[in-house]
Amino acid sequence: MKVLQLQNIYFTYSDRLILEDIDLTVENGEILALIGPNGSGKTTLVKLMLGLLKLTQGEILLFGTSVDQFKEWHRVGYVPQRAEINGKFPVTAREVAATGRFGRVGLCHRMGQDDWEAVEEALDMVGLLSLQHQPIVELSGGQQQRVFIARALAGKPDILILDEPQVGLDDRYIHDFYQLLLQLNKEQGITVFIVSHDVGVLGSLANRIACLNRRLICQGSPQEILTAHNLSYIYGNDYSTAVNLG
Amino acid sequence: MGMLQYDFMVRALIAGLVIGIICPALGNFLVIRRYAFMADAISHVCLAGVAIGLWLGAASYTPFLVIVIAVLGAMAVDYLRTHSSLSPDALLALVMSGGLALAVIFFGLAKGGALDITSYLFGSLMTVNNSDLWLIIVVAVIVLLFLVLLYKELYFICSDEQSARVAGLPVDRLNRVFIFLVALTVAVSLRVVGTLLVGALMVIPVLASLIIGRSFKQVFYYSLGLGVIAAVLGLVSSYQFGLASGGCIVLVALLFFALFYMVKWVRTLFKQHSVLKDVE
Repeated sequence: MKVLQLQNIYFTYSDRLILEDIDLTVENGEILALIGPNGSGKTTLVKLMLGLLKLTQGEILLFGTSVDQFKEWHRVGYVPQRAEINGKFPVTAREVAATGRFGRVGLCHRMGQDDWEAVEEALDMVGLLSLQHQPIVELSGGQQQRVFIARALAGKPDILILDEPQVGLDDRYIHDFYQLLLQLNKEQGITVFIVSHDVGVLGSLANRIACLNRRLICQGSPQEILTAHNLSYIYGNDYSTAVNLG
Repeated sequence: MGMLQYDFMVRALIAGLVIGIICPALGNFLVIRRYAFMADAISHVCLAGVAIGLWLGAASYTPFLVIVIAVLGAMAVDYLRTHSSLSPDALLALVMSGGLALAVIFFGLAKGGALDITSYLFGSLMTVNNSDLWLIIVVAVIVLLFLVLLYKELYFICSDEQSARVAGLPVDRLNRVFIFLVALTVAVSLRVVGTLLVGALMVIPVLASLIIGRSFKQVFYYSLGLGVIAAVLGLVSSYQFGLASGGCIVLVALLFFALFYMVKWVRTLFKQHSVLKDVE
């Protein structure tokens, strides 16, 4: 089953062509990693997939439904590069993670026991259950990012869309984070679409890798894609300093 | 308790109690989305409604005119927010300036009149009549019903609008309803607190609660408590000392802010001292 289909995507901003001629499919249960240099349009593509930006041309299907008509947003967990949370307001980790459940709970309904248990389970998965009542402003940058990952997990999504989620995570946790993604994929069958520069890790994490630089340059298995020739082409000759080949 | 023998004082206290709850209740969502200045902008737009009422010589219809103008101002804010690239402070300044300019023109055209402008500017105990009180109660019921039903959605939208959109919430519609309710609340609160200070009643109890609260829920409930205390103590002192009610209410709220701020400062000093002592 196809979870996500991008068909002949074009996106312009003002008079600038940001993305052109993109065709990409994410199958159920796979981990697809999107790589590309800064400014290549990765975040724009993610926002188009989530309906946050309007396509100039083409079509995006989520679970077989056009993104404009898609209603089952609780099936999608999203971790942005940077969350918009007001850093001056003492919102707890539990309160932030709970918002990931709201799509499932529905309008005008209160969170029930099951919902709070799902929130706690998600916080436990990212190792922050003991800090759930802590205001998020008192957590480190990495811990805050883990709260946003918990928020995406709290809704028990069928697909996780992560836009460079490892930014801000400390080295100790990055390994655990990728392990968590693998575990969610293997044990719960969650499809994962991850934007990342962490090329060294993606080789062992992703089933498929797609390379973007305004257009889709290549896609295939990690063995096919993560070659020195391809990486030089994508990131430039200094790719070895730009990315971590592990 | 002698003041309770006067009908105007009973009306003012009930009105103060009600707006002491609904102003900070909505203010929480304004502060978390960094729109704390919005209530001020709309209250200044309301002055145009007062001025048009004065110009028309329709004192009895002025509260309704104020509501209409406030809602129009709120719609302008919402339109600019969604259709322009202006920052929140810039677009609120734009709408506020427009409202004030209209107010100045219509005050000029009216050349004096029976309407008591100062009561709209600074708030007054004497001017809250029965229809004002009923208007305040009706608006409060609508606001509280909205918050009871959509508290969690509003919290999500105001704290992280983009993620709320991804969760499938009807962000634009809820934003419009929220802004409309802020406009209604500001418009009906004017008689007690005054145009110049209604924004302060929406924001200062929230800012004071931010100092002592450790979660959104705590800040929300503390701010309601502080709003009620500030409104009642402010109105009582206004009666006792013959001062403008809006100024008294906001000063009480500010005193709480200063008190919490100082207590937190002293506690932080003690904590730092004990940490250094432990190191030694």
